[in-house]
Amino acid sequence: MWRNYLIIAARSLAKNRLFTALNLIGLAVGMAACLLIAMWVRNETTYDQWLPNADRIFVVQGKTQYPGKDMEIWSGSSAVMLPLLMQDFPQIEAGTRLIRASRAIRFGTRVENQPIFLADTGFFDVLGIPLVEGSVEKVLKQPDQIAVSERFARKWFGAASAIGQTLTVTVKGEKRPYQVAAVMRDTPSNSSMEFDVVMLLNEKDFGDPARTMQWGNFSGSSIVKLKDASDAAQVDAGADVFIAKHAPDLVKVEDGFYYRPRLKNITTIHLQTPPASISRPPGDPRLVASIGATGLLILIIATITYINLATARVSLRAREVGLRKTLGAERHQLMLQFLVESTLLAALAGALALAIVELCLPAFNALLAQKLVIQYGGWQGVMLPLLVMVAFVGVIGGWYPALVLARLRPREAITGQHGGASGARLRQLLVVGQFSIAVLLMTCMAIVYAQVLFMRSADMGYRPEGLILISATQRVEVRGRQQNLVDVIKRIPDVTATTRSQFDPTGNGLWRQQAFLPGVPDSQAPQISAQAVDWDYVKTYGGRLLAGRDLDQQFSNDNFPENLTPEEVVKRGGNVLVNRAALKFFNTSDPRTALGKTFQVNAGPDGQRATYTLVGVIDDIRLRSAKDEALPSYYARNVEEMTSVAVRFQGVSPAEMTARLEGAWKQLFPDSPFISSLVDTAIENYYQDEARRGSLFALFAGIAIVLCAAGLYGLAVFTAERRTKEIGIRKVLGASVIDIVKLLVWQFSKPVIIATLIAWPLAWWFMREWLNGFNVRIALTPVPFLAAGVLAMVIAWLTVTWHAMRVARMSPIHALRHE
Amino acid sequence: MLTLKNLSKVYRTDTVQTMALREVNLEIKSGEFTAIMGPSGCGKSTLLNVIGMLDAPNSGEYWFLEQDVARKAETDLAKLRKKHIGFIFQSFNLIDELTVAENIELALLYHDIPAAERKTRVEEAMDKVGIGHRAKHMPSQLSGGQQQRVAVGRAVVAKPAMILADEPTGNLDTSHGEEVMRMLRTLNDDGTTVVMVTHTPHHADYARRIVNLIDGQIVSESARAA
Repeated sequence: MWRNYLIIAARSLAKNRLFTALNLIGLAVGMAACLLIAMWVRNETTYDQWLPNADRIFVVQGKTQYPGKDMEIWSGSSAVMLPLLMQDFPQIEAGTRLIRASRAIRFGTRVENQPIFLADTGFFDVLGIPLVEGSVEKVLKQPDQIAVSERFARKWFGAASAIGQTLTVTVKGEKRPYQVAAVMRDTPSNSSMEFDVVMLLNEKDFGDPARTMQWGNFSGSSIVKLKDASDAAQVDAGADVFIAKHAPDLVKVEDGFYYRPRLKNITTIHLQTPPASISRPPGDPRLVASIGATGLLILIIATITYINLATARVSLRAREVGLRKTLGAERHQLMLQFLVESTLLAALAGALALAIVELCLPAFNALLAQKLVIQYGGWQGVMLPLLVMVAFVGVIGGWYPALVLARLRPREAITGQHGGASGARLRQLLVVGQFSIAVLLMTCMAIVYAQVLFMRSADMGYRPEGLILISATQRVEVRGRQQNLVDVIKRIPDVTATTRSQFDPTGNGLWRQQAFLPGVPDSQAPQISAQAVDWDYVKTYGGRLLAGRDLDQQFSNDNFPENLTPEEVVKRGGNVLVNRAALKFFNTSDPRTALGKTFQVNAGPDGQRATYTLVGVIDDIRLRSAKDEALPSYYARNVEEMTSVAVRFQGVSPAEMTARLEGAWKQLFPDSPFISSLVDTAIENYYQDEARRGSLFALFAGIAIVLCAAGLYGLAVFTAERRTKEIGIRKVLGASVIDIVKLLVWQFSKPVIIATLIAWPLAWWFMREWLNGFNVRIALTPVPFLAAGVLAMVIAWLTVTWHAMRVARMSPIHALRHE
Repeated sequence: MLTLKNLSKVYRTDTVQTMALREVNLEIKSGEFTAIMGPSGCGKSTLLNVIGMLDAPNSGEYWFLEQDVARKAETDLAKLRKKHIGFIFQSFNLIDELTVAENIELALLYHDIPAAERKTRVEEAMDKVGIGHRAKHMPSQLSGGQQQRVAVGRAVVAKPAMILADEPTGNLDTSHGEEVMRMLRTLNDDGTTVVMVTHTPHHADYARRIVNLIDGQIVSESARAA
């Protein structure tokens, strides 16, 4: 019996080659897309789960709230906190602070700027990263014993053993020898942290301890391992007492200010918002959800195509079923037969899907900047979801035909008098369903694409092109001679302006203060973002002065020299620029009327306030991306905090200018690596996530529409086949080829129109939600909606018309003889 | 073998009601060869379908081997059918995807017969209808006459007590038609009950009993000696 089922299945599939090919390829492509997406989603949602005892590893984050404002969650926490937490909470088994830094590393003649992690001795106790070589005995226990990754070891030492090799690392301008004591296993692609070099964190070596070791500085990260995963709640519960005990001032200074640490499990930080600062390109839960949903939709479309073609085939198999029934086949036997057949085809498609996944994985990885690896067996492997898909599609695809055919009365089946109407209605419904999904995906794709284009061309308030940034000027050896560097750069030909600033487009730092305004109670004082800049900031960045003047050396109050004490600042005050977004603080929208107005900030050691006067208003500058919100900000000339030098140039290529700047740098700092970036290129990177999202949607919307078209084509062929006699009669009665084509095309246009009407409101709702995440966004016009609808219709027409023409051109005699 | 009492069959559509069989009374005994004749649309095929349990009557009684067919469920009918009845159709109804041997074997698949025995019986049936040399051919490679021989082979392979033939010669030329009729006659001589619907008086002469049907009613009957 089973042999007979298989023979019939195989021969019937071979006979209806078009159906089989459409079914097989369509289903395989759908399954492959779904598998790729499943692999990606799995990777995104399992970050850091590979760490031993991941359930007990928690990141200490900061939680703050200003009176009357929303609660803010900071991805990091103050570096002061960890030793105190470990002292107060016995639930903490081990802990380490982690600070990302960049160091010039030298080995032999090779010098490179290398991202590193500074950690405490507890690093390996907490994270338990497996070693491939060496031991944790000495590493991080002695200040000169460091750990590197396999990747790093290969890159720097080649085939030689890394253990015992000495690297020269520049710390605070001083070259120190460090010995490799351990080689760590490379972190897999689903790791929020990529450890290449881990060195002991020494508070004295790190920047300005007064600033780093502040309760309000969230730039570091602390990670703890608890004795038990459930202890996290106890630590969180003790947070109030902890803050009251160790940082009473913090809550006192600003009345009503709320500040707490909180523990967040390490496996959840990749997809958290806001993104964690220690995490590599952070994940986006909305992206994971939308791509995951897209994967399911594609599988649904592929399954629908499959069911559609299968039900269409019902009529072709009716006679066989009728015959089997007259020969005594019972219902369950027939149902089994069709389920077997359907599952067989689904299994073939599954095998094909695996091949497609293997072939496409490199390209998919390149598109998403991922390192996914296909794994077959086990709970994590692709075989399990694949088998589930095969079973699902096989049963769903075989169920309807099995049911319909098995129900047919043998006499009706054999004579072809069975009613196909209900099947036809179901097919129309399914076509509507799948085209709804396709139109939805296409509309979303069009809007995402338009938004990405729009943001790229959006005004950021300054001119990123023709601007070079020189970073790492905070290095000890550079820091004291920054002014020197600026003076040298100014003399380079083709440099039109140069400045320094605290924050620049390559970083994501932020410094906020409360702005105390005349007539506004302190408890409602708004937050203002502070940006320390050098002279010519507006000119160099290409900002727009809306009113007043730029900061100018002629006016002594425009300057906050390095030797100015906080007491003097409080006494003297100073002149600043504000941006357009800050105008609302001064109850005006006209920049001119804001000039001369003042606000106060905390400046003195005991909470005394300094008064700042507005001398100029500039247009909002969004440093990184038009996606960023333009925060109310003020700009003051204060060179103490400068992290980068910006150089505007003209009339020479960026490469040439970079070379000239590097030459100047090397003369001043021969032992320090030169780090520069073109601002417009750096900004492109910020749009890559959006661009990737765009490409992903484009890819999967494309697949969806191709699958829909394949299904429609199969149906068109089938319908034309069934209507051959009718077409013949119509032609005998005088219908033209065009009449026939119109008849067939219209039959398939109706479901597409209905599908479009269903998809539009859904797309509108989804896209409105998505666009709300952007500060600068396109308006939702009817254009992308109409475009997607028209495209779907055109694709449906192209698919159907070609076959309709062939059928319509056939001689009516042939058509009539068909039955 | 079977008895029909006041059996009626009505086909209904939204607007039209067609009385296909009216109060038919018929008894067919084991070993008989009965031809059902009559003009187009008189209800011959309907009568045969009802006898073959492919269609259910609206009223009246149908007793088959002392069992009340009208009251049986579809599953039971399927069992009764596969055990006792073989079918031959005008349009052969062979499955295009199966070979000659596989088509014949199909009739045995739904009986619990071991593969080895199936093979022997299929070979016997093919020999009986003279199609053994074409065992591996597909139906599309055969002539009409050969296809109908396969269909006869399939009808007899399960050794049914009764064969129902619906215009078995309708799609065949004269010589092939005669061939099929001779086969049916031989089967009947071997004890199989045969009920056949036909248009052709000449072919009806192969039967021992002729039932004439007009407008769903039996109008006359004639019997002759073998």
